[in-house]
Amino acid sequence: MTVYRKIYKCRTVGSKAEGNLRPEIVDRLPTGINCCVLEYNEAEGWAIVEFFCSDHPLLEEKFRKGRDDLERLRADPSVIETLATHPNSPPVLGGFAIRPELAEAIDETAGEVMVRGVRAKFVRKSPEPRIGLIIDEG
Amino acid sequence: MNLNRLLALLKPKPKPRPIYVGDVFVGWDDGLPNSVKIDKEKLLEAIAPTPWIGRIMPFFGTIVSNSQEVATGNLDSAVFRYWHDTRWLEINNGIGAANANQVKTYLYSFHAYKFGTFRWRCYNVARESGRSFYPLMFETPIGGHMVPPPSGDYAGAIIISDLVTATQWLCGYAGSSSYANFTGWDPTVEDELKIEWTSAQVNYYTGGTLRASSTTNVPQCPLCPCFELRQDGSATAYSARQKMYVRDFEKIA
Repeated sequence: MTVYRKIYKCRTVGSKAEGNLRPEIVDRLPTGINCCVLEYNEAEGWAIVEFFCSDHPLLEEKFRKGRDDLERLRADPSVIETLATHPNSPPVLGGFAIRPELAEAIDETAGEVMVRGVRAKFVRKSPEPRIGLIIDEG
Repeated sequence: MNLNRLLALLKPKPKPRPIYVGDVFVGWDDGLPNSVKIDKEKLLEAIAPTPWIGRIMPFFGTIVSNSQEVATGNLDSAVFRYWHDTRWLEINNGIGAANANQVKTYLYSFHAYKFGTFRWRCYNVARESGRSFYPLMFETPIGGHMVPPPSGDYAGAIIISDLVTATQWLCGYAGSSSYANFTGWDPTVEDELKIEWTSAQVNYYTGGTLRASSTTNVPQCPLCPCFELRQDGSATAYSARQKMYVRDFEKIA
């Protein structure tokens, strides 16, 4: 269980003036893959985008994606190159969480939670009430 | 009469200021926190036939503090200033230390939406430790906070938050959520924000550029737009610096 991350330099479409400058790949982003834009260069038509996903067992099956799914994005015609790192990439980019109401049982000592009959580790409780139990973060 | 009461009587009081929406008088503001008195009927009457409803939004809802009762229409306890002259809606945290933990100010719309593209302008005056700004939340009308409503329907949320140490987006539905940090956005600078919400994806824009996109846990239920300021534990006093301005919220597609 981990949050998988990958940084790609991607071609952009739209414009800032029209309010729709974006990486082209966002128009066909597969379900389960999220992304954050780290840098734009509108003049040259590219953006540095960090994609992330998770295969945590408490995620709905359709949202579970792994490292291979991120690697496959490289084949998208709008992806220019792969970057190992970027100065704007934070140590923790994002995460996935569940509401405590969803849990059938929470074992705080073991750091485990049971949802829909599946027992799995959670990372921690978030101080942000809307987030609840963080099941994966990175 | 004791001395304290006598001194209180002698102390000059702030001059009450009438509040107008357009030409319609809707109430009084005596210049103190939590002191705006608004006639709800007059406010609705004043806003309804004007372009405000399309421009400033359907946000003549409610601001409440220390409470989740966001749909009560209790405008007597409102702590907002309706700045009709500038068209900015100022949201401030006007409550003191009565409830030190999570003192909140909401501006909540009664209108619920399911999917669409929404655009508005927004900024925070200042960021202070222990205080959170929510330049936008779409939440389930009654349950809120991703908590299922009494009807048992699924709850959802689309949130942009400025937690002082980080700016984040959150996308949640049916008890699960995903979130991540924004980069390249300064919430203290006036900017145009936009979200595109479809059944498969939520895209977050600031300043005409896409900042993030989420395809996990996208809400599939009607949600009400809402703005909120909050104090978290350590910050317990009213702060005149803590303000958020919002204007021109509109559904554009």
